[in-house]
Amino acid sequence: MNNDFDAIVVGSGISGGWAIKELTERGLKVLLIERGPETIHSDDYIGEGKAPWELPYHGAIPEDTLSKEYAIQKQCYALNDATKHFFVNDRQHPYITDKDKPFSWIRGYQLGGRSLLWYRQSYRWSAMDFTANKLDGHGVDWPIRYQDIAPWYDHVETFAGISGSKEGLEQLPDGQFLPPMEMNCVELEVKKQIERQFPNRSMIIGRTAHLTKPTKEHLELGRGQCQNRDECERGCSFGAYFSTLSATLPAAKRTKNLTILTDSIVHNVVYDAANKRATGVRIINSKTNEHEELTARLIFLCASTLGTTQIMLNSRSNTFPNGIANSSGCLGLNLMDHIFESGASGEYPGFKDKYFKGRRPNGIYIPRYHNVNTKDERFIRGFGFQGGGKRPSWERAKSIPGIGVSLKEQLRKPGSWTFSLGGFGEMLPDQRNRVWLDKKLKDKWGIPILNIECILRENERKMLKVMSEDAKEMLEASGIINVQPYNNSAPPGLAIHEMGTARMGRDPNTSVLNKYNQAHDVPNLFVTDGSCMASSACQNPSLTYMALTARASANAVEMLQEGKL
Amino acid sequence: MLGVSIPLSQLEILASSFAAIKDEIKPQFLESKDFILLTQIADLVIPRTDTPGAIDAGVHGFIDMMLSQWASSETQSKYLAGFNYINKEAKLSFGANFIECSKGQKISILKRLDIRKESAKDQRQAFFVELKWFVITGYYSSKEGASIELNYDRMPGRYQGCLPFDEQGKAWSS
Repeated sequence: MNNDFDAIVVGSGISGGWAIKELTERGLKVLLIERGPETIHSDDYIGEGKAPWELPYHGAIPEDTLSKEYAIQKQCYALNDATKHFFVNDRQHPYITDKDKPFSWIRGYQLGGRSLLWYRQSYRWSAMDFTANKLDGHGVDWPIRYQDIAPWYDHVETFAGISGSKEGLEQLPDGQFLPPMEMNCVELEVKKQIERQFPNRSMIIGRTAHLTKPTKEHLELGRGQCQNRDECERGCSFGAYFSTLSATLPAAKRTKNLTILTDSIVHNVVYDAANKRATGVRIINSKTNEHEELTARLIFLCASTLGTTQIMLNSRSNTFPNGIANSSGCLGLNLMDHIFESGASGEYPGFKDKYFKGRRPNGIYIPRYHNVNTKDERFIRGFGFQGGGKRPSWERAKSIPGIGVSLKEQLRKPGSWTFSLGGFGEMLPDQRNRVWLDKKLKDKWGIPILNIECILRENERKMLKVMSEDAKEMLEASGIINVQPYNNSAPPGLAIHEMGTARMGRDPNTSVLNKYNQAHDVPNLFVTDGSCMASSACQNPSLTYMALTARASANAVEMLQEGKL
Repeated sequence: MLGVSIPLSQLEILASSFAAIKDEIKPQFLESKDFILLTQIADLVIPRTDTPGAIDAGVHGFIDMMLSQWASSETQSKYLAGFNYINKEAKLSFGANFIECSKGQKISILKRLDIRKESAKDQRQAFFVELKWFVITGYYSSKEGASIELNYDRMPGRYQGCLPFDEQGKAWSS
């Protein structure tokens, strides 16, 4: 293959998509390497727009396939017969965990990666999220502050298209928003009650990467308005939600500076000790098993948190016997996810004469309120809630006794409104939560497989307890009845916000990357996916990955042009 | 076991009468006696009213297909054992297999078996509730159940969060 590239980007999910867009738009010749197969926007959305009765098995995956091929992936709500080609086959892509310490690694190996499957919630981090480590001493201080990333949030929000409302909240800064989605009657009522009775809390409509009103820039890329089908994980030919395939890939393609290589697994980054630079990557063709070395002046790793970390750990040389850019020994440590599966739900007794139309692909959000202006004695950091109101339909039959005409007539009408709140909380960086390469076991391409060890600790457990108590309290105060609190222990990983294993920091002795996502040890190596995160905050992280990637790409090009790389 | 066709005449015509069944369904998995049992139960769970019922929607054929192609062998065995259990209950109560009982007897058997999993003594006792749920999901995800009995909106366009219910009159199926 032609080896004349300025940059190689590994991985085509949300971060990789942003890297190829920003680098090609600045004139670099970029090679995008994706380990999975090519995916074609629209053509590969096989279940899109189909009614349940038009899907094989009405959308259900055959039981044996589910238990044998998707033993881990099946825990993800988005897996069904129309989306399973966007999830990995667990049997073919093993990893190791201790039996008592499960970690759910949910993956999508294809062009577009998990940008096709994400839940699209898009929140900025705030000033306090970037100073939290410094203030309470967990993890290392972020090498950037909110004002460093704020213009890049503006940049990525404008291009991606984020729908939301301006709220003026210190802990959840406003952004460049498309019009917000609408709340339903129960949500409006609960919002009113919560904000009246809990002075420091607010309930807002979810901020989400959907085009509620496409701009000229969106339309020029062939994207269109959200149709409120809420079947996003099957793919959207309107390009109404942000994905690599709908947005960053077409933007990069039109520069004519992009080359795409699919079905190519990166085995390692190649390091030249003489020049102290990465020279390229060694790839394996996933179908033929052929190896090849590709070179470029810049390497961007965007293969997802654990994917990138696995590649780096496997990039061993005399200089870096424990993985490239790992002189600190931090590579693989401090794995985080968000803690969730704790909250409450119940029934709203009113509005029986009101209903909704359309399937809004979004819910409500209660931004963090603990440890914002006052200090909570029980735990540090905080959590937010996602949730919403709905009116269940026939699915409530599961708890309705009886058969026949009366059952059928009952189900013709919707049930009472219900309302639920589920917390998403910050997990502290802790070096005992970590991944490492197995010394013996390799995958079918000869790459050592990952061991993952990640558990919730005291602060997380306390926070989970309060989440469920708070949710119950707010629902009961809002007139919700039959409130059922829950606190299930979801395995880490299942929030699918894994991050932190090649963290940014100020000190090369305690972090892998500097303030521009550049490896302290290897100046032309950049890591911009979730592995770069020094803490997890409690907001959904993808928007921050986008902003960090765009920022790092712009800086890398600048440094390249100045001859610094 | 395969390819047994059930002539309509063999199916007991219930009060909700499914005279307009368009096609005879050849079961792929169930033997004819079990398929008739399944068909009758589906009809009792969601009968035809002024709108199509489970049989009109082909739910009996759907469940048989699912058992044949979708279900694991454990699930297949569970269903076969479950049908036997229902017949056993029928024999204990009324001295006949389920399909030979009167409609009233059938309803009383199913009502007795309509026990939540939590209060069931064993898996067999909880079987009918699972079968009932299979009929319900099959029906409300069928074209008849989802788009005739209830409303189905393939391409909503807008989301409106607070409309008078009377404008729609029935629930959305999804």
